[in-house]
Amino acid sequence: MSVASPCIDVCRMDAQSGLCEGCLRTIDEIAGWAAAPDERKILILAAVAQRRARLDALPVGAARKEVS
Amino acid sequence: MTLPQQIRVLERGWLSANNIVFHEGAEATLVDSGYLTHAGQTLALVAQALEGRRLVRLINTHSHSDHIGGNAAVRRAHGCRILVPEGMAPAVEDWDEDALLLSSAHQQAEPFAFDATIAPGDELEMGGIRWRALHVPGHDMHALAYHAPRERILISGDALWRDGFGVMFAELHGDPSGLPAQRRTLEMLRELDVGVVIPGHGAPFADYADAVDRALVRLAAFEQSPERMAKSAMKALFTFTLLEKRRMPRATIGEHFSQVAIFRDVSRNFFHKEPAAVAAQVIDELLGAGVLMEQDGDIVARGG
Repeated sequence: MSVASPCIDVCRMDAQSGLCEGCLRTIDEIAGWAAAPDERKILILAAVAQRRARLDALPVGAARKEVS
Repeated sequence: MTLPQQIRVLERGWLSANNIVFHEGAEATLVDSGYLTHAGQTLALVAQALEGRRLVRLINTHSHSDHIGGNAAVRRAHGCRILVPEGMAPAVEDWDEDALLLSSAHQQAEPFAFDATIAPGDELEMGGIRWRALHVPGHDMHALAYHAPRERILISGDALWRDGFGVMFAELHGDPSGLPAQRRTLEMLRELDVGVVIPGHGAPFADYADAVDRALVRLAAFEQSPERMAKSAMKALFTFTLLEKRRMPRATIGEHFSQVAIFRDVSRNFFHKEPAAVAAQVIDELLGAGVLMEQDGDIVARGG
């Protein structure tokens, strides 16, 4: 099996960050996932991990737009 | 595994089924619309996949909430026609929440109007490709799959996944025709010439014969042990509930099993136990498998 999707079934876009609130991907990244080669999927997962780390470092309630 | 350029698969998780966009010149067709609470993102994904084309048709594989939940929103946004399998038409027309498995499974969808129906054996064109509608009863007794014999592509809905198939709802509701129907469906599918499957959930896949064999092994286990089938279904349905709710206080889940018809009836009819006792067992097994987690007295979906 290839690279696992980061979808956790939240599937709601955050208007400020332009990212899915669940998987922290852009619409382009989600829409292109199924057809993306493994190399691109790995790049997307790396970007998601970076976004997650930056989000976790923000104080509670800080605007998400700082992340995108 | 590659699909023709004009087919775009929008793959998410379990709460929203895959959406498939077919480019047809300046127009486009969509198959299945995801879960109601995801409709906003579904619209954004579909808009992206259309690449400026006009969405003129929405076609469903079957009537479950994770496949039809966005139908009304898609129609509002695009004014497209909606075509449904003929077997599900009466339930949609009357918006029969029991027949649509909404009230009985505590799931949501928004009523929608449809313009035409598709019957088993009908031929239709999507993305410039000829597809034949195949009746694939089992998970849903009225479900259709769509097969392109020349391109060797199968849109299987929840009749066949890479590893298994959807919950046997008929059996759970006391109708013993579900498993025999699923067997006939898999035996029919086994004879098809298929290079790529676009399933209702999960990534498109190529190892068709292996997938059908895996599904037949799973089916045989269910045929031998109705309790095993029921246990597997309870776990799948409760996980689905948690994906929507995200978290539930552990102390309330026994009551939830008592109130929601499918959990209550399966507890009594298959396990001969009180729903709360079955709930406790289902939760323990899902926690043990790492599918769900426990935090501060709540049972929580993966990813929080």
